[in-house]
Amino acid sequence: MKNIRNFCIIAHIDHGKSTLADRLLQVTGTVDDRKLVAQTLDDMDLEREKGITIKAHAIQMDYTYKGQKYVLNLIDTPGHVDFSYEVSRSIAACEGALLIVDSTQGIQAQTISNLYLALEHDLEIIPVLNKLDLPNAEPEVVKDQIVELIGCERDSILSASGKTGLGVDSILEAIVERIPAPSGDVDAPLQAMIFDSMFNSFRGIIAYYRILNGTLRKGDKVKFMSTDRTYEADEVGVLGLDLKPKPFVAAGDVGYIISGIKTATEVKVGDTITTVANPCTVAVKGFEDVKPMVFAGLYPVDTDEYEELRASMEKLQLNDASLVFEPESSAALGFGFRCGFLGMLHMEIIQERLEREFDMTVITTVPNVSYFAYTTKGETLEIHNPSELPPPDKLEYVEEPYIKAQVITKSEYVGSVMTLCIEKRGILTNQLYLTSDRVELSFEMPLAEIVFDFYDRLKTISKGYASFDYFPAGYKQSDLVKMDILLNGDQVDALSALIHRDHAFDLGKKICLKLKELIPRQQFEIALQAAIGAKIIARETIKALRKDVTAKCYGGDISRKRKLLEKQKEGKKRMRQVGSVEVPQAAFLAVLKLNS
Amino acid sequence: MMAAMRQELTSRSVELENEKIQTVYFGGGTPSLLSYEEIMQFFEVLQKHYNLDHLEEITLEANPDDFSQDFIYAIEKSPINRLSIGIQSFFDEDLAFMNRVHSASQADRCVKLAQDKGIDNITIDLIYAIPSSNMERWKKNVAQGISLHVPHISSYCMTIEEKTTFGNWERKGRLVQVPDEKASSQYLYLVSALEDANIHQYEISNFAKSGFESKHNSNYWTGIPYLGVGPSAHSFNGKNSRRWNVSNNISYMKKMMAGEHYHQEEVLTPRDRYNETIMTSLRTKKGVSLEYIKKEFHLDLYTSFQESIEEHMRHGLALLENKYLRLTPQGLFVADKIASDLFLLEEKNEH
Ligand SMILES: Nc1nc2c(ncn2[C@@H]2O[C@H](COP(=O)(O)OP(=O)(O)O)[C@@H](O)[C@H]2O)c(=O)[nH]1
Repeated sequence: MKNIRNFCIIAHIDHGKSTLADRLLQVTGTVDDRKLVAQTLDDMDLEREKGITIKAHAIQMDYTYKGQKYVLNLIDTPGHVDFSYEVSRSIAACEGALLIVDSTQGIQAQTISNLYLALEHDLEIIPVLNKLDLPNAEPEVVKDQIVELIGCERDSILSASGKTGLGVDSILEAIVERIPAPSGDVDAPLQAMIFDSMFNSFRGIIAYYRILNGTLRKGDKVKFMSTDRTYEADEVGVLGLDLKPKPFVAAGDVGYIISGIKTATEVKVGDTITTVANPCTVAVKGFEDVKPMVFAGLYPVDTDEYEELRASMEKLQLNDASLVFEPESSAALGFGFRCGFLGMLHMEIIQERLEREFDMTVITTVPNVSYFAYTTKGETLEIHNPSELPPPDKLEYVEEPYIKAQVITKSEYVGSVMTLCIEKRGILTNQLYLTSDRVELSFEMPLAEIVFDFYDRLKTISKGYASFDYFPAGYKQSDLVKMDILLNGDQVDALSALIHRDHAFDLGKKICLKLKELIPRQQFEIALQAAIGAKIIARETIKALRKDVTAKCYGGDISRKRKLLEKQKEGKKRMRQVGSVEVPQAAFLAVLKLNS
Repeated sequence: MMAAMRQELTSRSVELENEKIQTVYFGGGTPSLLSYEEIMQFFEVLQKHYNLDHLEEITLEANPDDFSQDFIYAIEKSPINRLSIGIQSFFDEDLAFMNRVHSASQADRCVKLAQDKGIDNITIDLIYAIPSSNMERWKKNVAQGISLHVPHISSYCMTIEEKTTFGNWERKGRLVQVPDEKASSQYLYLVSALEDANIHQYEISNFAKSGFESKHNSNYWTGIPYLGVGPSAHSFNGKNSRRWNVSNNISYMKKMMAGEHYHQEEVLTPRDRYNETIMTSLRTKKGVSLEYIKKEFHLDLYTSFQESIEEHMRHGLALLENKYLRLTPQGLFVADKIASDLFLLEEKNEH
């Protein structure tokens, strides 16, 4: 055990985590140069394109240092706020972390919150300045930031370049020298913490774990403590570039178990594996049943494809336990599913995966967070869909989820970031100058507000120089109202939203204007209204279509014209009928794009 | 250029080997710049390689500022028997707005010049919904057009397309498109004023006294083969092939002379032909023949699109009469929308 080192990498997207990880694998001979795919750790297409590791993996390297053989387990961490719980479990499986900072960019919000997590878990931090090959690197400035942030010695900061290979050896040495060996008792009852899982279509769910105490042997009867289910350990082993089966995996090490589990929901990140024969008395601390934060309706574009959509989502759920869904129906959209996501990115990923992997294009409704409604009868209802909100006379009050949010930006954008956050009902709780021109702003704000066009606007007002991170901070009572949208008097259920009363008039007006832009003129006039209960708060009119014809249609115009009209017809197929009005798909997400 | 076009005309004569040519049209660009000799050179090629026994309508496009002595002489002596004059407006303000080189007085005079020489078969173009204009001036334009006693008028709604000068102006706010409601009322005024003058609408943009409907234009909408010569000219074989020449003048000439491929071709599927039939015939006063659709495409138009057709009828846009589905003047103004409603997106399975 004294020759094992478990570590993860904390880095902001694009700061070079994958490139440097590849270098480590290369230098330790874990992969040979030819086999090195561009980025070994990210093996889903989507992740590679987004530059985000969605699902964590782990890889084991052999490394000889001063004549001694060491086993280095690198545990990858997902890099987005939506997956912060997964990150915390990966961190909990390690004794050390490489903090990789792009020396041209400096520290970002995301990095800081993960760093705090690592510090909370007492991880040994090895700061690494990366991309030193770049002419615009500012090593001294970024070193100042790091020293300030973690209070380390200035000369303990390593210099590296994933591109040229500079500093890779010193990183490996530092991992062995500085990160403590794991502690634990191989003979104690088994206590292994799951930090990730993977779905394999032949073998079922593969769970990844770190053993804190005890030994897991092939053939053991094991128990997952949170679900209280038992399985047989059909195969155990460690993680090289592929799975490497072993007769056993012992305390301090990282490994996998295959036990015939078919559904991802049975394998919960953070859960503890023990043996049935000799169970441990306490589970590993920190387990949480992650709850979806954002909900939205997903509907097949073609109403006939409902069953197909269900099958696709079930398949997605096999390797993404955080996706939850249940059937719902909408007058406007027909049959579909109300889905819960970890956050907006997660929602986007699911949508994209449905499209890429299953060729399913879906209509997504306006997402909402989960609310608690307290009724006059004293019941508490969890609300995942605005239509579930009890009528005003039965409603005592509503609570909505809040977050603590951090924005790191340049000092010149502080003013506009604050304005945005305050507009989003945020309260500034702290303002910290990290360096003379980098500021960390902390806010408390309703989660619902970041669902509505927050990221895009943050990006715009800061010209891209703002990073954002958040974590949940409980529920608070709020003056929320349900706003409905009516088309020629017919309520469009899929467009209802719960919003703060103070924003209602403004939002109602904006939504009506946006819809006016998105809904094409039809043969009759269309009244667009926003309403709270019976009260109309905004109104717009889409005039009847009076002109839709090209003046000339002679020899040269016919083909082009035909193709244009065919496209129009194609687009129409994707529209939904609300009463007599045809509504294009884009309209259902109008609320998210009010400022573009 | 002329030589290249004659060469194309010669080399493609086989395509119309068994056809009797009904119409010839000199259009696009400025055919009015052709000299008498140049016009005649085309006719020589036509005479030599094509069957002109049934030739009826020979049109030449001209602008009001083209009417020089030479030009009038050329049309008088040549076989050209119909003139299409791009008058556009009888008002200098409108012409200046549209960047036209001719003046209102030239617009006024040119028709009379032609008529004095015995050329009566004339069509003029008028443009409505010009942002610089208004209903009052449009009414004057229409009245003026009628007073010239021409047997045919084409009238087009001004469209502002992206990537054109006007498109740029619109983007920059220098120009505001006439709202659809106003364009529609100018159009409806036109239809009724011309009707009162016995000039009947036979297609969305075309109006004629009885017997003077342009055969050439109508043939585009009835699937008759046509052969277009010159840069970006389109041809249709009457069945399923449409081709068009490269649009760049220089490369057209070079390719033509070098014997290289100078055109692209598109093969129409039955669905494409159906959609085109719907699109073009809905634009005509006559409308779509349900029997023709049944015979040609094995489709019962009414039952296949009953809901949509009935809705258009309910809104006063369409009529079903004598087994024709046709559009009212209001309906014609939204003909694209109605056509696309009746389009097929997939090939129909023939069984
Ligand atoms: N110049 C330079 N570019 C680097 C270096 N490391 C990574 N990159 C580039 O930075 C981008 C992001 O790197 P990647 O490893 O994918 O970052 P990740 O998102 O943190 O995994 C890629 O375009 C890399 O080629 C480096 O040391 N020097």
